[in-house]
Amino acid sequence: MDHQQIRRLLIENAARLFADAPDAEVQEGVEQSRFPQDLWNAIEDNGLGDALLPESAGGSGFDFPDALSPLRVAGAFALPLPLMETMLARRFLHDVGISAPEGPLALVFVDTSPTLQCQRKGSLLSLDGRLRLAWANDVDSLVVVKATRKETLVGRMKLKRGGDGGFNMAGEPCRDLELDDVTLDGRSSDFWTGESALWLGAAARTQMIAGALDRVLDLSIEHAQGREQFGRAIAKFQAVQHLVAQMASEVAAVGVAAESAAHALTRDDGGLEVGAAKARASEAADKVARLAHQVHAAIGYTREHVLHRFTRRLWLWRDLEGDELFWQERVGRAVLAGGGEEVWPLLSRS
Amino acid sequence: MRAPQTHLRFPHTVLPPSAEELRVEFREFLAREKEAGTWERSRKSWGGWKPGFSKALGEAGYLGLTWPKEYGGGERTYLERYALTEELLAAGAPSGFHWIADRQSGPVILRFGTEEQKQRYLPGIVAGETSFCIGMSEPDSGSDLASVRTRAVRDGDGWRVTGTKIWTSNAHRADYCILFCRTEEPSDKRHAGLSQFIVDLKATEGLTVRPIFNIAGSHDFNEVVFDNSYLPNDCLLGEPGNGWEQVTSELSFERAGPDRFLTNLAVLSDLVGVLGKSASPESARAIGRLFSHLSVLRKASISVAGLLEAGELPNVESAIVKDLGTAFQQELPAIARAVASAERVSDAALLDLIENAILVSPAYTIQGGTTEILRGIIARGLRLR
Repeated sequence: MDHQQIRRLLIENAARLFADAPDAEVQEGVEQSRFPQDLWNAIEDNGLGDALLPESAGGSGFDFPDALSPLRVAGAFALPLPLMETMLARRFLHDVGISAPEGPLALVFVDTSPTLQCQRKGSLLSLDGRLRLAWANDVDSLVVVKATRKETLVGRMKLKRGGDGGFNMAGEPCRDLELDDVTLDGRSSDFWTGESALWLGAAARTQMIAGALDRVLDLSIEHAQGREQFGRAIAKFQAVQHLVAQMASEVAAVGVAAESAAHALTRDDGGLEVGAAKARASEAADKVARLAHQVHAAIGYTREHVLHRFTRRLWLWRDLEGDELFWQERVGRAVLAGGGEEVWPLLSRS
Repeated sequence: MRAPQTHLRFPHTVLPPSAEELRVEFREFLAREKEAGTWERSRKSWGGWKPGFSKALGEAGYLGLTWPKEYGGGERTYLERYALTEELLAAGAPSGFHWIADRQSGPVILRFGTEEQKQRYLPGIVAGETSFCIGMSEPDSGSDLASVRTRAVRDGDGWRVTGTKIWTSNAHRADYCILFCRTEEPSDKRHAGLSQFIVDLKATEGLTVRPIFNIAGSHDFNEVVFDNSYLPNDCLLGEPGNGWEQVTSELSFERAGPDRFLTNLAVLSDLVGVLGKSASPESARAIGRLFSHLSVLRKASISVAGLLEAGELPNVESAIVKDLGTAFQQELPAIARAVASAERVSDAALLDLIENAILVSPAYTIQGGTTEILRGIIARGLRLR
């Protein structure tokens, strides 16, 4: 099977699995804090949660671009489940030799969480601050990742059920965890040196954003073609055509960014590309969400219409694993450090 | 719900090792020639006119890079040429003399010309000694190119042409102009009856070239007036009536090229050079944002280049890259201005560069297909019209 066939199969398989995820039944259930257990079981049976593990540990053995590609599909189906978090958490736990409990996991990269501070004391991680945790009552543990120059430290914190909760921007049940000098044992992985663990998080989240953008563009085209005013489809009006065309350009850019970020993960100097990709994706997320709502007009602003299942996730996901400001600053500092003569070499090296 | 149905094709594409080898070799060539004084970074980037530099490129075999060897070409791949082109742009090397000839006039002659025309024109282009310009737009025909009124009528063994072309960059100093005009009366088939002629600008009677200055004070544009000028029949490019197919192939091939986002790279490079490590967080973010856009744009452009090399016609994808790229080029000097202001930059050369970049920026979203036209092309591709 050639590479294109593998990718197509992965995407088709994921689309089949996630087909019902955007439906009102699932999404409204989520709004009532009902964990979509059947959907999760189907995902686990398919092995998607283990996709990043090596084959010897039950993983897919696929490279990052292929292994992460179902996440783009997850974004395109508004998957209201911590699939990405679980995939990555299981990989990090495996790499540091901590056993993973059954079921879905929560994941946080302390370096990209603005409301969390993390002090490292030897191999101990001391956490302070607040963390908004989706599905806090349905996940066993929170996996904490701290990147340092020479290694990445991974810790696992068992979560207590119960406690008051609310809902995050995407309407998923969550709890705000208050962490007051909580200490965790951190185990080290020297596979993930420097900030490469953050890159994995950013690349994975970029896939999800890309997928949600793909869907939002599709919905907008469908809406413009179907909605009639003044005796014709609104798609016939140049003003509407130009809104959708702008959306398409942004969506295309993020698609390119997502793929390039996934490919850059195995390069020692991949961070610049990954950071650029996530920055680009986070920036585009808002622009496209707004354009989509404009195209859909009033009906797209209702809870009943499916559009917000995607746009609210765009607004949530753009801030996770580093918002555009975080990565723009990272990328900017790297570029500034090289000086004017290095701008083109940096840009053209990949 | 099914998977999203809209498919924008931007396959992950990496320039091949041979392109990277060519890049290294070419950087060395540029460095040597710069040292020797053959060129220096041009204020007009690739638009700078330096026949000596174009000749040096020709002598070194860097022009006509993808053309058949029988015409002096290098028979290298499109992606290899891509690497070379982006190096020229990044260096701001003055490529105006050979740019149009190498990039589109030569290829259109190669594709549609007679054997005699190929033998006559291509070697000079490959040598970097023959320059071309484009005679397409008219005062009343810009975006609506098919509405051109310049008319050529048969006269014995040749043609008599009357009409006016405008925005003809470098018509005042190029050797040839490829003239797009009507050779048959207009009919209800808008794209029929149009042809192209290869006009010798130095040896055609009844031809007047008048300069047009742009708002930045440069003379690049011209008005070219044909007053019953005689053109021998062997100037007709290919078949009469084939003009529309010729121009659409010319325009589509280069729409998504690196000149759509690298033309004013110097603004970013020089700004970075002046700011250094003490830049504020806001400035660092502005630089990072610009770099993130460029990084993704370049990959999208390379992706389109790969599709073109494979013989595809990615019209929507090309329009997307030009729209995004030219918008970026317009935004870059505006952001550089703001950063320079916030950082209280007093470097005269940089401030001057930014000022000039602002003045030339309106053209990016106009030339080679306005943004409004591009968005119409994208919308059509998305089945909205």
